[in-house]
Amino acid sequence: MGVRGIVAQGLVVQEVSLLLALLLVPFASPLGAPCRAICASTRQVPHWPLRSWPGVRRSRSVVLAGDGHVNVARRHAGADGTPIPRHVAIIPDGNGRWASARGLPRSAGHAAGATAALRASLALFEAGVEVVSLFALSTENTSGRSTGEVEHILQLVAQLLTSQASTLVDRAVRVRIVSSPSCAPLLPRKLHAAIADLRARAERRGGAQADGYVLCIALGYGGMADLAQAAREIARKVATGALSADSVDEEMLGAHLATGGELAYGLSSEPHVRALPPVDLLIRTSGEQRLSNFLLWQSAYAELHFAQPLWPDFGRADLDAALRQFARADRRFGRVQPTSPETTECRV
Amino acid sequence: MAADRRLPWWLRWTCAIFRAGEVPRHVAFIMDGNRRYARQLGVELQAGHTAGFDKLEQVLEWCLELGVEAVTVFAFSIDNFRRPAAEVDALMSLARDKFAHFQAHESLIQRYGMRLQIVGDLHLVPPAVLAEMERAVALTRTHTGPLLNVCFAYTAQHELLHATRAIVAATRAGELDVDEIDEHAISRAMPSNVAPDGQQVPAVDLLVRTSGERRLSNFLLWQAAGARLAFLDVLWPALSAWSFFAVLIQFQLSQPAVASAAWRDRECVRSSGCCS
Repeated sequence: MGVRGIVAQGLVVQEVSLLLALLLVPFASPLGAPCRAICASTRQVPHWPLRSWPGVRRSRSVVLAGDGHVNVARRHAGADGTPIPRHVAIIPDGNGRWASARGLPRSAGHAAGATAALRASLALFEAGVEVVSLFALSTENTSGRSTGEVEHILQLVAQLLTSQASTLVDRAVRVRIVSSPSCAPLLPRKLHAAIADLRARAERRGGAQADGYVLCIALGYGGMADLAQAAREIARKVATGALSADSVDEEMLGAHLATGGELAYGLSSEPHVRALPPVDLLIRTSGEQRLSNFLLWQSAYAELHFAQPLWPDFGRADLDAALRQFARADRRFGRVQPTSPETTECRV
Repeated sequence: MAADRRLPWWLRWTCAIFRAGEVPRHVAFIMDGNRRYARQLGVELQAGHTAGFDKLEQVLEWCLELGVEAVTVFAFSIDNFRRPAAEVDALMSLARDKFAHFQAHESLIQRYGMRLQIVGDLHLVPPAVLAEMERAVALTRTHTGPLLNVCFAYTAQHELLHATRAIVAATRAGELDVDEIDEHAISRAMPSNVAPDGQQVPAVDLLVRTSGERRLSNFLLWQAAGARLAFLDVLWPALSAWSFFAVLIQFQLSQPAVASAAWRDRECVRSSGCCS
């Protein structure tokens, strides 16, 4: 069939994609490197000023009573009944590229990223999300990147927690730092002090805040390292007789991870380190579509949302799009019928 | 005849162009959308699953033409046992037929000399299906071609638990010291990471899920930690070569950014001798 035949029948999707494939294939091969370089240099870099965020719609999920008690109603549905994730994990990718595109040093990118992370976390807590996990540093970062940059990021996180301590405590946010055996010794003293300060402030504020929000910051964390340390801990307990080999099941393995109830490598300002719910929504920015060794076990059934903007540019509209994807998703967990959104009763 | 079975010329030509760039060594597929496909066509669900299996054979041929070393497919999850009993029984009988088909001389597995491995909690599989599985795997034991991992009655969390239990047993038996338990130890203890001949399977480079769902559903969490995830809105039985090639183009374009990261140098995800 000749070209005329194709045109006469109308271009079908497959033919269009064939043409696109033929056009794009040169880009894919090693010979396409000059083509890619030309396109990269002519791509326009959008310059959006950092937006300030008006409040996200309140879902009546946090009520600050006059006596300082915080009633966190864990209703996993918004005001209009749409499902809201309990645990949102964020891989804030693109800080370095954001800074390079503006001619700023990478440290400026990380600073902008930290501010954006805090804003996003607080907005998610306001929307009713219980736990927000941020992938600040991975085990790969701490082995590959220059130690200066890693040190800068650690100090940045410590600085942020110190300066925003009153905001976090007022909103009943507990902070958990999760790490790995190789990176836990690298956590600076300022970070230990910031966590201790947060715990003390929360205790002073009073009230049973055991069920508040949790901001989980992963510094030097790796999902594989986490599973390895959990296996090691379980093997050690079985060897000493504290556990029987028959009792090793998925729940126990999950409990020994950093997000479980036994935090072996990390810090926490929670009064009792509790097991965090599995990840419901995972957001990764800058267009990279990988998990990159973050919360592997916990993300088994998570909705994956890959956003194009670089992390400092991730705005309220992008966050709403991610939450909409979660609400639209038909989460069957292997069954045939869709499951209904969980609702639990109010806790005092 | 061999000539009848060859792929069309334009497909082989496009695969040759892709081979000039970087081809994923290990591709994983979540074959989602068979039931919806059957509903759209107005046929019974069994026909949808049969069409899905035919598509699997086609996709395997594309991967073999590209030079992929290992393919892992998610055939049946432990969670799927919660489906209606009639559907589970139908799926089991389909599986029995297809594993019997794998033993036939003219099947893809035999023609390309692929090595077959079944990964999952095989205690949950009915004996009839298990017998066909074992026969099919035994026939491929001497093969040296690419590896096909069929994940049946599988969840990634169960596989990790299996690895942990194996490590705990090895520690109790004195074969392994507690302080030696690290990521390499877990990698070696995971059944889908180890080929039938004992070599390490390369880490998953590309994971494709059809039918528009954007989640892993408890599939290959460990092995896909650094994999490029591709989500296609098309249903599995309707997957065309062009959609797959579009995914490959995105894979190749995303590679340079990763090559500089520490990921490539991780020993526990780099194969320690498989096919190299």
